[in-house]
Amino acid sequence: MAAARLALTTVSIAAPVVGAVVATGQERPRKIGFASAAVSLAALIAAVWLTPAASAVLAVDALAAAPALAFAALVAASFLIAPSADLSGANCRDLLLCLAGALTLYCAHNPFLLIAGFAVSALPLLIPHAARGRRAALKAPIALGLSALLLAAGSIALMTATSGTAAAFALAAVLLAALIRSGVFPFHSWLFSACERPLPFVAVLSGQAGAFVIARLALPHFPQTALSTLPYITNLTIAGSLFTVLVALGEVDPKRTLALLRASQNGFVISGLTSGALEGITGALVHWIVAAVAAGGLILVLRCLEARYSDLARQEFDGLAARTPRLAAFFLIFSLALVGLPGTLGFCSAELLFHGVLEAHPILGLALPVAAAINAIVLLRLFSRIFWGRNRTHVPPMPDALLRERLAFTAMTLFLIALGLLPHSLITSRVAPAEKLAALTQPLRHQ
Amino acid sequence: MMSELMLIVILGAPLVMALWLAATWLAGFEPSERTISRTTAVSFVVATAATGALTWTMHGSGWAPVIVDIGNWFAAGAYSFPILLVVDRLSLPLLALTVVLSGLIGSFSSRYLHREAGYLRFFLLLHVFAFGAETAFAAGAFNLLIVGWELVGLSSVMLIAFFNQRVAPVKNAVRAFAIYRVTDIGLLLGVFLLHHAAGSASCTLLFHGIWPQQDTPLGAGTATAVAICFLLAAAGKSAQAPFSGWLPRAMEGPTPSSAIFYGGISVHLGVYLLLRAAPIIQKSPVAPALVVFVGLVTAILATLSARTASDAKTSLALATLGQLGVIFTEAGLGFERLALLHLTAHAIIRTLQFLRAPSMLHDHHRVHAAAGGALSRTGLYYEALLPINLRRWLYRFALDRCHLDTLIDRFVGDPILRIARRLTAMERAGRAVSVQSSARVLAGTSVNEVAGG
Repeated sequence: MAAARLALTTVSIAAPVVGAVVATGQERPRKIGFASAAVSLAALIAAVWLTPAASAVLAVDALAAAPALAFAALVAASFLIAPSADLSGANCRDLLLCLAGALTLYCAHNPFLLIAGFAVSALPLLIPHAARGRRAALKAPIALGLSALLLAAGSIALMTATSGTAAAFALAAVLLAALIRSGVFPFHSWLFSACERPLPFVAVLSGQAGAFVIARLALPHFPQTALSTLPYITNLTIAGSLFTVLVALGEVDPKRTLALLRASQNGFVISGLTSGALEGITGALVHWIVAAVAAGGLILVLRCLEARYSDLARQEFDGLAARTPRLAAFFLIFSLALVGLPGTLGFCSAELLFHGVLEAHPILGLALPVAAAINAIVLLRLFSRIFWGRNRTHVPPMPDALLRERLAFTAMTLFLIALGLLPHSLITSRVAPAEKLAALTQPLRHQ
Repeated sequence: MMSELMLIVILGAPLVMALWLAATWLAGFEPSERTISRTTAVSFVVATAATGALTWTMHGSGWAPVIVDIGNWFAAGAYSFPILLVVDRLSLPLLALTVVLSGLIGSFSSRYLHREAGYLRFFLLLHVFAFGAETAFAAGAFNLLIVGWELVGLSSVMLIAFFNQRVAPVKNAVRAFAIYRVTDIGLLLGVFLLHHAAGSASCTLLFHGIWPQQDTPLGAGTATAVAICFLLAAAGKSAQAPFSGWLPRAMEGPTPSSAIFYGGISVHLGVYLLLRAAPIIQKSPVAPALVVFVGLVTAILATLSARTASDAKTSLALATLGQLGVIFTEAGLGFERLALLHLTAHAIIRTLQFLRAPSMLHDHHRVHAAAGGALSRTGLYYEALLPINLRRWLYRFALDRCHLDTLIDRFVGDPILRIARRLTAMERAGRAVSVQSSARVLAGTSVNEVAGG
């Protein structure tokens, strides 16, 4: 049974690598990419089905199962949705390698594999992209390269540290790597340049790795002496969430706005993870899946629109709902899920997360619902700018969601709504890993 | 058992309709107008029959509350989200009102919106609204009330922007949404405080006795904090001062939605929250006075503004505001039964007036002509007794809706937007904002212009 588990996990990582090799040089690699991601997802589902074991070097345990499945499913969906212009052979290869890296990160129970997964999952963003000036092109590679180096240095130092001070410094490096990767304030500017690349979807998903490193590596290795610093991380991420969403309020560019909202949502997740409260940690573990699916969906809808209408958001109102009502509906549903509207999974995760963070930080925690409210206002304003305000006769003809796009978006929507109506099983599955993380920070709560 | 089943039918009918319409449309099909209107009629007839049966059953049992505990929706640690439904003397009339008025609006709209481009969208939102309002009224825990509350808010915003090919409805919808979201923070915090203080936001645990003779074990301090949070949320939803500005702007939506939302049910949701939380409010030494103050100020300002309204729907919206202010005052003074009676009667009358609004002018002209043009006499208002300078000042004051929107923009909206734009400028420049860009930012447009983009 153990061998079967390991084999399935390996297949889930190897399938995208094989797909990447095959896709390189292909002119239309959409089918190859989708097939590889689908095989990977199927193997992962089977591995999770066979009761996870944490002892193996590669295994999908309770903490990793949900985000790993969500990541693989989202990559498969992105192969259906992404415009053909985005899916060149090289881009397809990068996206598949990103999937392989992310699954390695999630399944790794060995620090070296974890570091490798962390770096490879950012591969598409580590290569400089020359579309927007030299300085902007280097931002993402520098930030993500630095975060990978910091993680490597911190992890190795953590393993070899002999004194408490050395461990604390090692941990600081790991935390810094995670925060940079998450794109939370003040490390969010790389997200802008990353979103200008052909696959902005990768940039939106990439932040997941930062939160995961905190849960997998930082919290379990937090020395007791360093526990007192944990509330500062929570406070920084709460304040950062408010800051980034305020910047988004003044932003008019759709992609930059979504990048800022993603940074804000990553701040929510990390504040929940580090809150020490079981409700907050459980909420964070659910919310990182919601944020990935909803923000991923939003950026994919945006890319679909950009492919159809090059003048997107050049004026105050585009009125695209007149031509693309279904894409508008998907955008609205993803927005509402991201900001926690009842009936979507985002509501359940936000309820738990806010409750936990407010219990742990009653004063600064108040900033979290305020940031969530501004998130909602920014998203509705963005929706209105793109989809409302103009008559059909003033909008150039363009197709609504194509069948393949509709299938993938519908699956994502169903996930958010079905689990929003019946969230019990998913949330219960998150309680066990959350309890482990909460137990690690128990001394802090009793101080 | 019968009562529980009826309650589930009442809530389930609009939910099933909303999910069916949404799924059908997303799958690429669009049911015909006839199919939509007939299925809507069937669903509301079923819900009305179930409401009648529920009322009959409750009457037979001496109006004992019906409590349906479906269990926890989700739970983690000490926090649980119960699906607890309670129908008592407070929620039953409002539940019945929602079912009947929504059904009537559905019937009216099937003709009124004939061949309108957003026909399906309107009915989808009507069912979402009905489900949200019924959930809010039947909620036996304040957590669950949030679910209905938010769904009503969302459908309200989407219907304000129903004619989204025009800029004005879009901007007004975004503005209403912003007010909703900001004031809803009060509801979230209130529920959090209840959990923190009492370990639950369930009405069966928080209140003893039968409405309106209820008491709460909460202390005065906690009760004050929760009551103030709830008052913020109620003021936003019921457009009380200083958040009154969105209600006249919401008249951009189609008339049937104005009737059910801003005449009938949605604006009364804030009052319902105050009535449901009455034991908490009355336990506080200051909250009742605050509720009365907010209500009175709104009633006076709305009456003043209504004197300068130049169209039928805006006049009705401002008249609604005035009555809501009075109902708030009654609730604050502890006259809960009177407030409930006033609310119910007001919702029915105002819905009728809104539905009559499109044909009212036509009727007026007909009667005016039949009477030989001697119907309307002008210049005989009480204001004529005031000195001319005061009259002019009052006119300008009332015409700008008592400066409420201007004050919110100047002291809240615009400063936040200025900060936001300054931060954005800093982000874009990658350095501290320069003097020139600061000047540009400071000379930026007002919150109204930004509301739509």
